[in-house]
Amino acid sequence: MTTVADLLKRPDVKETVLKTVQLDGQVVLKIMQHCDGAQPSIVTGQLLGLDVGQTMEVTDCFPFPSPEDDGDSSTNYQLDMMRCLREVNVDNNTVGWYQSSVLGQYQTQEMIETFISYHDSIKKCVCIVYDPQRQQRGQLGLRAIRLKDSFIELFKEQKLTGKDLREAGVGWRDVFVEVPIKIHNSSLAQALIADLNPAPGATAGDLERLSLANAGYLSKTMANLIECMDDMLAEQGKVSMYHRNVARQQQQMAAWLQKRNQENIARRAAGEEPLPEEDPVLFKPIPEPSALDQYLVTSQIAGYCDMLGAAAEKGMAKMYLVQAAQKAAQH
Amino acid sequence: MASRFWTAGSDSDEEEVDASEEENSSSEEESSSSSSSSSSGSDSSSDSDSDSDSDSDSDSDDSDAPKKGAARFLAGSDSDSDSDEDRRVVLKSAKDKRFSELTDTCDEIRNKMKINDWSAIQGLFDELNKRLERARKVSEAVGTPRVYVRMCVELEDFLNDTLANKDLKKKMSSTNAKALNTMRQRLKKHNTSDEFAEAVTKFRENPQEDEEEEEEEEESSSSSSESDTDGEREETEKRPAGAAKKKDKLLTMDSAEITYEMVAKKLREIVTSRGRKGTDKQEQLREIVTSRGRKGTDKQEQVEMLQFLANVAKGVPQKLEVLLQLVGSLFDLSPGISNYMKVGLWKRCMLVMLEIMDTLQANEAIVLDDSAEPSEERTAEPVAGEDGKVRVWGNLVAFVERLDDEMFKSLQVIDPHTHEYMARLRDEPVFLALSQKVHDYLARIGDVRNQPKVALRLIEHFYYKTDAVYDAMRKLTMLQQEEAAASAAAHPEGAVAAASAAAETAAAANTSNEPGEEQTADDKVALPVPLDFSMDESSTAAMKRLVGIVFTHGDERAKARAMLCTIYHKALHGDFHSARDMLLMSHLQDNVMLMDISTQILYNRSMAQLGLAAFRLGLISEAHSCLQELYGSGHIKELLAQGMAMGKFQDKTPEQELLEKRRQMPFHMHISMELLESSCLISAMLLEVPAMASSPLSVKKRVISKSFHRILDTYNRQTFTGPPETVRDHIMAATRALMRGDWSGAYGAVSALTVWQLVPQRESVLDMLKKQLKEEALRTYLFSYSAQYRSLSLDQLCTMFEMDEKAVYSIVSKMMIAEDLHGSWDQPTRTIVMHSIEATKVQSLAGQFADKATLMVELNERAYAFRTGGLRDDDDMGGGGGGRRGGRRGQDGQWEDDGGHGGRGRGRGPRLGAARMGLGQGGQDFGGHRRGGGGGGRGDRGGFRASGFSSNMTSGLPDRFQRRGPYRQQANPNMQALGSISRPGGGVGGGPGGGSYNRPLGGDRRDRGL
Repeated sequence: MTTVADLLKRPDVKETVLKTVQLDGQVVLKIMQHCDGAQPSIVTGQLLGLDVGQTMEVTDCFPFPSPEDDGDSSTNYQLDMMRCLREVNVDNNTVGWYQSSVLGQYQTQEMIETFISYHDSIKKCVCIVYDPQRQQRGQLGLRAIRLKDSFIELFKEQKLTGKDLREAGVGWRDVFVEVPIKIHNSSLAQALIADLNPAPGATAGDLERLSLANAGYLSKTMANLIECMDDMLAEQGKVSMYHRNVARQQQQMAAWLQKRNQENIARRAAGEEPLPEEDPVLFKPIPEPSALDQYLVTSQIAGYCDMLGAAAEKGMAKMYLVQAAQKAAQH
Repeated sequence: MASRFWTAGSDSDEEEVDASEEENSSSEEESSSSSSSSSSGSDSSSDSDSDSDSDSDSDSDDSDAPKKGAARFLAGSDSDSDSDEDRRVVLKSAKDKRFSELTDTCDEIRNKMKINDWSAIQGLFDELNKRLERARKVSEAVGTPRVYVRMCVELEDFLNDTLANKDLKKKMSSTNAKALNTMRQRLKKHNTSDEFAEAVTKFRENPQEDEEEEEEEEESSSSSSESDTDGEREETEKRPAGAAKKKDKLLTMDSAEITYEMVAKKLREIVTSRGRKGTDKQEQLREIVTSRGRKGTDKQEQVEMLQFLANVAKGVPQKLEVLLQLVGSLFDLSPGISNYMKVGLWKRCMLVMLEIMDTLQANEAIVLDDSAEPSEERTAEPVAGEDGKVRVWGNLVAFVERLDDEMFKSLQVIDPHTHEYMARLRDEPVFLALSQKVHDYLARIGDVRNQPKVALRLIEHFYYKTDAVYDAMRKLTMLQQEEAAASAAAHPEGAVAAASAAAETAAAANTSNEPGEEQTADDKVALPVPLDFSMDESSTAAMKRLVGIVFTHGDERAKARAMLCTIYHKALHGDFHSARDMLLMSHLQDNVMLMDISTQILYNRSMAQLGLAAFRLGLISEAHSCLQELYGSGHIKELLAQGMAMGKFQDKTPEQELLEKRRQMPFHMHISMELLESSCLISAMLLEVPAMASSPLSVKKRVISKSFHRILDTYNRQTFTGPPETVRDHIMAATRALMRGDWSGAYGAVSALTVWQLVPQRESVLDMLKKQLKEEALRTYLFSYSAQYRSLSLDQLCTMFEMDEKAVYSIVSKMMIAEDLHGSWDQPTRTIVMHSIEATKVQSLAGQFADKATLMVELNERAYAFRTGGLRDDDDMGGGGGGRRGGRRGQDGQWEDDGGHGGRGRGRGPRLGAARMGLGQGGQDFGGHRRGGGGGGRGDRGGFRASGFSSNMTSGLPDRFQRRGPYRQQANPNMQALGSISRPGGGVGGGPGGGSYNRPLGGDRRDRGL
C-alpha cells in the first residue's frame, strides 16, 4: 500500500508511535464526573485534542447522551456538539473516546469494532477507560487503551483464526496496549492548586484506604473470573469440536480417496478414464473458529487476575500494618 | 401386448409340446389312462380337461387360431394329443353335451382372460350361468359342476390380480374398465352367495381333490402293471405326483412284501427330492407353472410317506434312518426362520426324536454319526463294522438345537398372558428329558465335541429358574411321568408306542383338509415325559453338573455362556460374592464386546441379576455399580432384550427390527424391569443423597448417578407433586424425605412400592432398606445441619434415627475421620462438639474457580494431545500401568486391575452390552476404587478432583495467580502439588502409580513451553 513517495511525503506521521497520552486536568474531572454520576450503567463520551508527535494531547471532552435518553439523535448530537465547540474555538479534533467500565470489564468485541471504525479516520485514536469502583477503592481508575497495529491489520482482513494469529505472531497480549497517562494542567491551574494549599496527605484523614473489608470486592471479582472461566471453557469446547470435526473429515477423506483409488485402478484395468482424485464438493474445509473471543476472554482473565493480585497484595500489606499496630499497642 | 407375446412364444413351444406329447402318446397309447393321469398330475389346468377329455376336439376347430394356440398350450396339452386323430365324431349323451358346453364357455373365458378383455368376459360369464342352469336341469345333480366352480375361482383370482396390477388398469379402455368393475361386483356377489360359497371354499382348499379321486380309481388298476416297469419309471418320475402314486402303491402293499431294498430306494428318492428342489431347473419351472400351492402338499406327502416307511422299515438302522429323515422333513414343514414352528409339528418332532432316542438306547450297537457318509447306494442291511458298531448318518445335536430354537421362537411369539403360553411352557420338561437323553447318549459314545452343546442348551433352560420354579418344574415332570405311566399301563405296548399311535392319529388328522382341525388334533398330542428321566434334586446341582461338562469340553463361546449362566444362577440364588468372583476372574467384562449379541444380552442379564443380588444383600454401592450402566444408558429394554425401545430419534430398518425381535427373551425369562428400576434408583439415592448433602455448593462435583440427578431435577421442577404413583415418584418422594434426614418418611415411600412382592426375601430386604435408610439419613442430617449445632447429644441422635448407640457412634466417628464432620466426641457428656469452620464466600468461590481451572487444564491437555498425537495414549498406558502397579501393592489388587480395564474400555463398545463395572470390596473401599478405576482414563487428576479442595489450596491460590505469565504454567505446579497432596486421601491403589508418572511428564510438558 505505502509507496516510496508516500513515505517521503509524510515520514514522521507514519513512523511516530504513540508513547503517552496527556490528559488535561479538566478532562479527567469531566470524565470522572460523568462516569460517577451514571454509575451502574456504562456511559461514553468523546475525547478532543491534538496529536502531537509521540504524545496525544487530550484537551477536552464531552459526554454522549446515554442511549436510553433518546436513542436516535446520538450522531446528530455529536455533530452539533462539534459544531458548537468549533464556534467557541475549543479544540474540536476528535482523538478518541472514553467509557466507563464495571470492575475492569472492557475487553469486548464491540470495543474492538469501535476502535476499528475510529481507526479509519484517526490513526492514533485512544480510548480512556475509567473504572469508578477502582477509583473508589483508592486506585487510579483511568487507563488509556489502544489496539496494536498488527492486530488492527489482521482484524481488517478478518484473519482471526488461531492459525492466522499464530502466523502473524499476535498473542492475546498483543490486542490491547495500555498507554501511559500523563496529567497536565495549565500553569494557571497549577498556580491555583498551589494557592489552595491543601492539607498534607498523611493528616488529611484519608482513612478510606485503610479499610480492611475487601471481601466483597474479592468475591465479586472472583465471581467474574469464574464467569470468564466458563466462557473460556466454552471457547475451548468450540476449538476441540473443530479439531474433532477436522479429524473426522480427514478420516472420511482418506476413506474416500482410498475408495476412489481402488475405483480408478479398476477403471484403468477396464480401460476407462480414471475419475479425478479430488472432489471439491464433497469435503468443504471446516471453518476454523475465531480466536478473537479467546483472546478477549484471556485478556479479561488476565485483567481480573491483576486486580485480584493487587487487592490481595494491598490486603496483606494492611494486615501486616494492623498486626504491627496491634503489637505496638500491646507494648 | 402380453397376449401377442404369448402367441409368438407359444408357437414354438406348442410344437415342442406336441412332439413330446406325440411321443408320449405313442409310447403310452396302450395305457392311455396312465398317461392322462400323469400329465394331469403335472398340469394344474388340465384336471378340468380330464373330464372334458373326450370332447375337447370339438372346440379345437371353432376357435380362431392365435388365441386358440395360446389357449391350447395353456389350457391343457391333451386337447391336441387327440387332434391328430382327425376329429372323431363322438356321440354324447345330453348330460355330456351340457357339460361340454360348460367347459367350452370356460375355455373361452380363459382365452379372454389372457387378453384382458373384460367386456367379453362379462358376456361369457352370463352365458356360462345360463348354461349351468341348463346343465343342472339335465343332470339333476344337486351340487355344482366342478368345472364351473373352478372357473369361478379362476375368474376371481384373475380379477384380483388385475385389480392389484395398477399399470394394467390404467391402460385399459374405459369400456373395459367398466366391465371389469361390474364383473368384480357380480363375482363378489356370486361367489359369496350361499349357493356357491361352500363349493368355492372347498375348491380352494383342495384344488386337486377330484383329480385324486379319479386317479385313485385308475391307480388300483394300473399299479400292478406299473410295478414291473418300476425301475425305469422311477428315474424319470420325480414329480410329486409320482411320489403320491408310489405312496399309494406302497401303502397298499402288504408290509410283509416290502423289502429293505424298496424302503431304501424310497428313502433315497425322498432325500434326493428334498435336496434337489433348487437344482433341477426343469423341475422347478414345471412346479412353478403348474401350481404354487403344491409345494406344501408335497412336503406333507413326504412326511406321510416317511411316517409310513418308519413303520415298515426293515431293521433298526433303517428305521433310524427313516426317522431321522422324518425329523428333517418335519422341520421342512415349518416355514422360514422368521416364523415359529407350529406347536403340533414341534410335538410330533419331539415324539419322533424320543423314538429315535429310545431306539438308540435299546440298540447300543448303533452309532449316529454326522461324519459318516449318508448311505447312498446301500441296498442290503448294513453289517456291523469291525468294532461291532453300525454307523448311521445323523446329527442329533442339530435337531435338539433346532427344537430348542423353535420352542424359544414360539415362546417369543405367543402372548404370555394366555393359557397357550402356559401350555407351551409345560412342554419344557419333555424337551429337557430329550436333551438329557441326547446328552447321555453323547456321553456314552464319547462325543466330546457335541456334548457341551447339548449341555449348554440344558444350562440355558436351567439358569434363570429360581428354586421355586425349578421345584414346580420338577413336580410337573413327575406328574407328567405318572400320567404317562398310567397311560402306558392302559396300553400295554408301552408309552412310546402309544406316543407313536398318537402321532399317527395326528398324521391322519393332517390328511383331512381342515387346517384348523389339524391344529387342534396336533395340539392334543400328548407328550409323555419318558419314565427314565429324572431331574436333579436342585437346580444348583444340575447347573454344577452341566457347567462342569461345558468347562471341560466346550469351546470358548460355550464356556463364556456357561460362565454367564452360572453367574446369573448364583446371583439369582443370592450368592453374590462367588458370582462376582466368577465374573471378575473370568475377565468376561474385558471381551464381552467382542462376543455375539445374544451373549452380550446374556452378559447384561447376569449383570442385572448380579446387581439385584447385591441389592438384596444390602451391598448398595456394588448394586449401584452393577445396575447403573445398564440403567443409565436409557436402553435397558434393548440391553436385556425385553422389549423394543420405541426410540423417537432412531429409525430402524425393518431388517434391524426383525433381528431385534428375534433376540427378544420370552416372557418367563424376563427380569422385572420395575424391580431393576427401583433397585437401581434406591441404591443411587442411598449413595447420592449424603454425597449431595456433603457438598451443597457444587452439586456437579461428584456425580455418582447421572440418571438419578436427571430424574431428581425434573422432579424438583414440577410445580405440583402429587402422591407418588410410579416407581420414580416413590423414590423421588423418598429422596426428598431423606434429604431432610427423615428416614421414616423415606422408608414409607420406598416400602409402598409394589415391586417388593416380587422379591422372595421381602422382609429381609425391607429390613435391610430400613437400616440403610436410617444410616444414610443420619449421615445426611449431619452433613446438612451440623453447622447449625454447637453440640449434639448422642442420645438425641439415637432417638431421632431409632438406632442403637454403637451404630450411631461408628457412623459419626467415621465421618469425623473422613473430615466430613468437623467435630469431636466429648465422652463424659456423650455429645458431639462441633468445630464449625465454614468457608467464607471468597473461599468457596476460590474453590469453584480451582475446579474450573482444573477442568480447563484437563481439556487443554487433551487438546494438546490431539495435536501432538499419541501423548494421551501414552498417558493412558502409563496411568493404567501405574494403577495396576499400585493395585498390586494394595490389598485388593485384583479389583483395581479390573477397574483399570473398565475405565479404559469406556465408550469404546457398542451399545449392547454396555454394562461394565468396577466392583469394590466394600462400601468404604468403593470410593477409592472408583478412583483407581478412573486411573486408567484420567491419571491422577481423578484423584485430585474427587478429593476436593483442601484448605491449603484456598490460601495458596491467590498468591499463585498473582504471578504473571501464561496461565497454564501457573496451573501445572498447582496440579502437581495437589496431586501429591491428594494422594494419601485419594485412590487406594491408583494414587501412587498415577502420581509417580505425573511428575516427569508434567515437567516434559513445561519444557515444551505450553
